[in-house]
Amino acid sequence: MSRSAKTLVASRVATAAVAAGVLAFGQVPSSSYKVESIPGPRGIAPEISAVTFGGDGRLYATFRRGYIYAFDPRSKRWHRFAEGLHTPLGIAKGERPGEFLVAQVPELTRVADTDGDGTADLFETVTDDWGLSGNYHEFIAGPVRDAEGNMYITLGLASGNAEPREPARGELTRRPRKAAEPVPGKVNVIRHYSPVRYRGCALQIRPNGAVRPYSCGFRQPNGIAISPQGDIFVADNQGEWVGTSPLHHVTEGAFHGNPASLHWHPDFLGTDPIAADVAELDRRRKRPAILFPQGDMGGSTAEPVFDLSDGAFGPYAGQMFVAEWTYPRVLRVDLQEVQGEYQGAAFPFVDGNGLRMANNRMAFSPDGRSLYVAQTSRIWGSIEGLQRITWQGEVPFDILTMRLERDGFELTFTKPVDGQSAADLRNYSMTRYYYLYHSTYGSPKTEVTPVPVESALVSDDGLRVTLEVSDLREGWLYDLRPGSIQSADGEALVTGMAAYTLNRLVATQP
Amino acid sequence: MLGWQDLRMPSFGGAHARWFADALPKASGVNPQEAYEGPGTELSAEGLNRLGVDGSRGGMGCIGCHGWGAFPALGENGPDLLDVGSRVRWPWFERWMRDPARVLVGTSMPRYFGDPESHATRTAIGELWAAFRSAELTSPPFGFGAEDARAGGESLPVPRDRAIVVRWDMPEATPAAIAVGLPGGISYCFDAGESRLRYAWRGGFVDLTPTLLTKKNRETDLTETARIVGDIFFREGRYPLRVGEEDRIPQRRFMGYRLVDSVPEFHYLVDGVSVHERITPVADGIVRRFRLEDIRQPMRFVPAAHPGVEIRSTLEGFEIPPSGPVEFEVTVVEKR
Repeated sequence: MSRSAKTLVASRVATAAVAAGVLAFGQVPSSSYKVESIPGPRGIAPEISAVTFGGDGRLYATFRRGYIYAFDPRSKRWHRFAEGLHTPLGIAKGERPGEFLVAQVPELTRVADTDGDGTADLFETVTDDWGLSGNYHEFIAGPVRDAEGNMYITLGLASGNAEPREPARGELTRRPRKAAEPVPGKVNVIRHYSPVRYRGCALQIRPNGAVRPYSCGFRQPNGIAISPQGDIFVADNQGEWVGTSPLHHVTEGAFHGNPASLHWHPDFLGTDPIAADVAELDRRRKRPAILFPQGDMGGSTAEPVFDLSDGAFGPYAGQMFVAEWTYPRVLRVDLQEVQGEYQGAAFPFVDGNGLRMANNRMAFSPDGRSLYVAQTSRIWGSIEGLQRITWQGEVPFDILTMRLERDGFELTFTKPVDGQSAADLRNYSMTRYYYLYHSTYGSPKTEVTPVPVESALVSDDGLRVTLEVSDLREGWLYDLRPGSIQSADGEALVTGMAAYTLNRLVATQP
Repeated sequence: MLGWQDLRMPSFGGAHARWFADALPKASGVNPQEAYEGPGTELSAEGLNRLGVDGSRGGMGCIGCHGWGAFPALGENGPDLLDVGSRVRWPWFERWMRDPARVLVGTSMPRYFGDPESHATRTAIGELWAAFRSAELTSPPFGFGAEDARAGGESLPVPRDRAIVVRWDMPEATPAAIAVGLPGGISYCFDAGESRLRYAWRGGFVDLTPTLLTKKNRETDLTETARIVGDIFFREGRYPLRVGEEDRIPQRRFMGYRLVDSVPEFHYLVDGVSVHERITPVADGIVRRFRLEDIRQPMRFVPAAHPGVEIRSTLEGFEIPPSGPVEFEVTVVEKR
């Protein structure tokens, strides 16, 4: 091949990868985080849908065909703990030994081994107080528990590609999903829909069993986490009204943007979603705390987990990891509270390195060193199973945090930077853009605008770089592509991207 | 291609054609001198399994999005896979599988392999290639037909020495249905969505394959249910217990179940009365054992009128004594 042809091919490959948005924008190396596959039980389809650790140190994994298996990480043995669950998609340790709370499609269930023989015998319904229309897309996630003992789960919308299959559980709304005569400025058409109670909402379940919609406006909320402070976060999936996969901070009474579930929200009870006013919904909606740019980072984001390992999992303690379903990735999030609301930065964490796709749920091992990743896809096409990501003790040279300040952003690093490359403005390429809020599936990056970085000031300890940026606007995503910044020891930066969701500016001092 | 175009295509001559034939693979980044054939083109069961949807056999779910000759894809509509072995070359195929988006911008083909250089990745791609090269000679990948399901395996569970509980979408029931297969060939469907027995059948148990392979039935636009294997001999049209009023169906709330010797004992509330119901097999039918607590009003069991079955009870005249915990049996047997 001639040199020009080689160049052509190389540049085409690079362009293709960038345009398709699947080029790894950096990732931690396997010398820092090793990815291993764990063979599932013999002869069982490894459709591993959720994982958690029990008090006995074993990993409890749910399978989409309705089993729960306990896996002993030392002996590598699998033991069937339970069967007969309907698409279990969430599992949490219960209050007593041998007890688990399982979110299966029709109900939240306390599954317990009460006679101590090692297999479950009690399947007690905690609550089933929501509807089912028999649509394949009515998934569930959770539960998480707050300090008061309330539990939270999320319910996905029904797919617009299938009709309700009667008999349903609960009353069908039977609302038309399309306006007979579209009115400009109204929602007019609902694709994924909410034909029965609370689909598209997060539910709160009180200790006395009372259930209520806590927030609404999700599309396919496939993952929920609660912070040690009690803040609840839910990852949703790109689609109609969701321009790119987001992470929502869930608060009581919030409306998160997808209008299909509007009629279950206490403030909009009985409202016909297709007749709702888009501009009003746009004003009313709580914007996602974090946006994962489609392709670059997110495709279909799944369960978030907080790193509470206190350093046993490496330098990112206190941050959040988010499973990514479409790509072989786990993403990382650094949250920042600005004017009383969460926003912050998303980074690539593991991309490839032996990790498979279909990453659905995750759980930290009791020693905090390993993050177990459950992978399932059924007929969406993937390789399923169980893998784990284990900290190897070698700190990667990475951007630890990206925080908004009054006059720009402050980056902190996992290791001291090389002062020269870190102060070089050419190494900070930044754009801002946003995603459209509309009924179309997804959204392009809109009004992509270069953002000049006016200065880069390196701290004395070399761990911080303050970027002066005057073009800061609310409602935009700030996409930083760091160049060849090196550590003081000459290592290359592992991450190629940091995406900051700027909903609110830092308040200026009066 | 427009209909008239083939009529206007000039003959450019062999010299040009050779150049063109070389240029096309180059445009796809393929060196024409590279080997076409690739490794191991003998018939490969592993590769066929990889194309299928059975994860326990290494299925990657390819046929979810790609058809196979006469068999349409299960979900999406990607290019047909039957002729891949004759349509593309090995070096291209290998690059494509390692990272599709590097070959075709914006493709919706997923990237399956996290580590493209690993031995496992090379093995998998090699096995797929072998399956494509021998495609015309082999049966379709697992997942296109129920005939692939192994009786007694995961998709066709068979109760042998104990009962099996399968919670799955079932016909004639809400999506909260619970199917219970009892040893001896009797099964029943308890609907937790309405806290009641729906029907019982004789023969095999359930076939899950229709639900594993499709998102929905393309003709009805409905999500599939499991298939009943056997014949329904009893349907209970209305819930049979009455509290106080004779003609009002009481409110029910499902509370869960406990496994007693592998058979569930369901627990639900009927107008506040705590009801436990456990269904086990008898000759020609089922016996339902009820245990009621917190009875405050007169109650009654109203047997379903179902052709071909006889319903007997240990209750006198199906009347439930109005106090204390009560236990009784209702037997449903086929008339022979």
